[in-house]
Amino acid sequence: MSIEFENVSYIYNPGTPMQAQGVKNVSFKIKEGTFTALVGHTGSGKSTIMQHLNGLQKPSSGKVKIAGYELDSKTSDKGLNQLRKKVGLVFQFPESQLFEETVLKDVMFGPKNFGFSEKEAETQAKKWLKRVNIAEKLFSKSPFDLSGGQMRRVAIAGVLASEPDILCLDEPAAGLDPQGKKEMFQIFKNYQTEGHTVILVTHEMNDVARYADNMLVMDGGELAISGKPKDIFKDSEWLAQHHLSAPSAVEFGHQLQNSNFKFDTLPLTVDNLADSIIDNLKEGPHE
Amino acid sequence: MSKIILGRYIPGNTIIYKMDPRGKIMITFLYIIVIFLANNWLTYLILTLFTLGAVATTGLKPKVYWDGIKPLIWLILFTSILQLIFTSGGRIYWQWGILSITEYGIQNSIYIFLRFVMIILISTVLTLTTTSLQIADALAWILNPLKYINVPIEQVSLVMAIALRFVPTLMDETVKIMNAQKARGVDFNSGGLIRRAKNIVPILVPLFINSLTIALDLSIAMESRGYRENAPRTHYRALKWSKYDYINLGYFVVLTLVLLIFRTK
Amino acid sequence: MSNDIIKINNISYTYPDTDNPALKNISLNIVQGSWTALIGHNGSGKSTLAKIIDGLIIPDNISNSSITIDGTVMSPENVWDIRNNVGVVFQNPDNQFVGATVEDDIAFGLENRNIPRDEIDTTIERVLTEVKMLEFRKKEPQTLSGGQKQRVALAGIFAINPKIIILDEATSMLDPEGRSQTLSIVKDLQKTQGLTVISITHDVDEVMLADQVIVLDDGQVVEKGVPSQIFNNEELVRRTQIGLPFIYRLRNALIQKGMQVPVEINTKEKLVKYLCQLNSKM
Repeated sequence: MSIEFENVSYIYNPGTPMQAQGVKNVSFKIKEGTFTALVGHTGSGKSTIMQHLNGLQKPSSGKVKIAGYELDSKTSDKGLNQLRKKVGLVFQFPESQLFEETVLKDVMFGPKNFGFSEKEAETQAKKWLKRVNIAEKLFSKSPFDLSGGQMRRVAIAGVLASEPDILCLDEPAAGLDPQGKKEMFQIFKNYQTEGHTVILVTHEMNDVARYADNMLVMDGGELAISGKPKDIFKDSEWLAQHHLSAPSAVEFGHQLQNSNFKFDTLPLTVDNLADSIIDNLKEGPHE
Repeated sequence: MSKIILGRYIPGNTIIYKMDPRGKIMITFLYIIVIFLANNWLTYLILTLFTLGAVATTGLKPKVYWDGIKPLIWLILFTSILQLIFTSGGRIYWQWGILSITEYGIQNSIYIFLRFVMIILISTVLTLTTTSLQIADALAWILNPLKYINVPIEQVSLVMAIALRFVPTLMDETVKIMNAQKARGVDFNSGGLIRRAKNIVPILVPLFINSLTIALDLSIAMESRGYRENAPRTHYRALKWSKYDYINLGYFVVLTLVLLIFRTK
Repeated sequence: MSNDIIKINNISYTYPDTDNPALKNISLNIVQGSWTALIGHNGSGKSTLAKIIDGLIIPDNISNSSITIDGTVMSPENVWDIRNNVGVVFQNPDNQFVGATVEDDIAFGLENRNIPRDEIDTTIERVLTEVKMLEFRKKEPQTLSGGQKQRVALAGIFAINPKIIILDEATSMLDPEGRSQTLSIVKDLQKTQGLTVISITHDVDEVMLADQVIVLDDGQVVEKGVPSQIFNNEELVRRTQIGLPFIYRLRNALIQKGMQVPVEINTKEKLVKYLCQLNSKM
């Protein structure tokens, strides 16, 4: 289930004084089963790209090919329901979309809209609530009685319960404590290894380094670059030009390289970095 | 929807934007009354010229005014046509039973038409060039005497200003919630009336809860920033009467005098 | 000690309609001009403590507890004076922006204190310059980014000239750029004007800015110390789930892989230097 953007441009409020370019001539491909990070600073067009994935926005020009659908400026809203079943979107602070009387009902809401039977929806909801670590005794509670972190997990279960082929998340861990964040990312990484495509919209380069196979960098509504994190993070000057920081491990690695360390491949994570440091030290002096 | 709640303010820089909203509101109100002074071709011509003059000072495209008139155009035409066929007097051009087109009928229907259009134009001038906040501040000033009968004008005007401040925030919030529910498979565009009505629940409940959160956060922030309900406060955002407001007033006084002189006694 | 600007003595607080207290017999002191990081997982009582210090909520046990701010014992009568000395930046940038425009929002706190209009005008200019937002003076909140809104919130607080500023997860909803800008502004003022800062945070890099770290767990103070003391305490870090800054994670990874790294190597600069020396010696 690959994703392809062909020369996609999107203009907000065309023909009014508020007209604004969302994205311009964006083309890229995402392979099935990969973990892709979509990065760029605020206002770079990331969320416009995200909303093109399930037809919430349709290209003003160009084409989006996703999950067997082709979206262009003429695509009508009718029939997009099944696309939205295949492409799950988790927006920033998704807990603000909860509305049902009970946790279980809220998680069943999506699957039911997508044509699951009552029973199937319940089975799916229970399965995913357990996987996001919500205790069974909370299923019948009002979602508004839960803690912020729990609400977040319920909202995410509400999207996962339909088991979309493609899952796109916008800053899913914002505001969570370190432990909550770690658990959250483990869930997404597992979802990918089970054969789904995951797209993560984020500012946090450490998360990108840790989890993503590919990255797309947006800047000023255009795709600045796409590729593997280890290639993109190499060029710190280029990153700075595009208002991006490097992951901490990369930054630290650069400092070591400026002195007497040599790395064959750029260490992206703490673990990589520690291994590379030890290898360097074993190889003996470089001066 | 945003147009209804936010008014139709279009940013600009002509002198009419620099006028005190209190003056603008009061003179617009009086202007609408003065429109009824016109009662012959000459006075209607003068009135039209003055109104177009006011429109011209905004420096805005005619289209935005047409947008103001458009929704009411059928009502205006309907009223004018009733005037046309039911007014009698003067020369008769056409007759069918009680319906007739007469000299006075034509005249009256044109007067009614102009009157309508001018009321809409002049109030549109006000709403296009004055922000909702300015209008709220001006109304608070105008209603200020009510505090002597224990109406809490201070609080009411602060509440109005904060409410206006949060309109765009809540609109954003609504769009976000709608998108999130669409992504969860809600189809707002199809289904019967009942289904559509049911689809509002997943929007209204989160919107209500989020508004409560905002209200709670805001009340804590306000208290932390030293807001006390009944303590005396200064006002930074002040309305100031300037030379432009004398131009406004002068324009209106001249119009009234001219109309009084040339109207048929 | 006389230079303790905040003295909290035996405070407990229970939220209405709950049984379990959010704070249990908390006592702590904060030195004037210091930066204190208040950490602990969600629900540990951090934000409750901030509200106590600002007098926004009243402790359970008034009779045998006390809060002293800048030498004044807090009471219902003087809480408004205390608030002149304490400014709080809250988490959500939107929900604390009261004014219709940037200048209006900064004016809000001054209007509440009945400051004359001319004086408000000059203050707005001063504080907007401090937070580098002067050109946004007439802008409406919906045109600003989260980071810019938080800088306006800071400006609104600087306008009152408080001695204490509390950042209540103020950077958690910001992007990295907004986060570092907000923090560097506060850090500058702490250094130049002797401001006392309390930052409530999950961001371990923000914790590294602190002189003193206080770890809360289940409404109680479980540890106090400089950042290195806290982050070197493995058992504490595991139990309270506070996470580790990059430098400690790297050090732990190196140690796990069989390297020796002395405890006093606790900053990026020191670790780079240490490793490079090691690399040339071997």
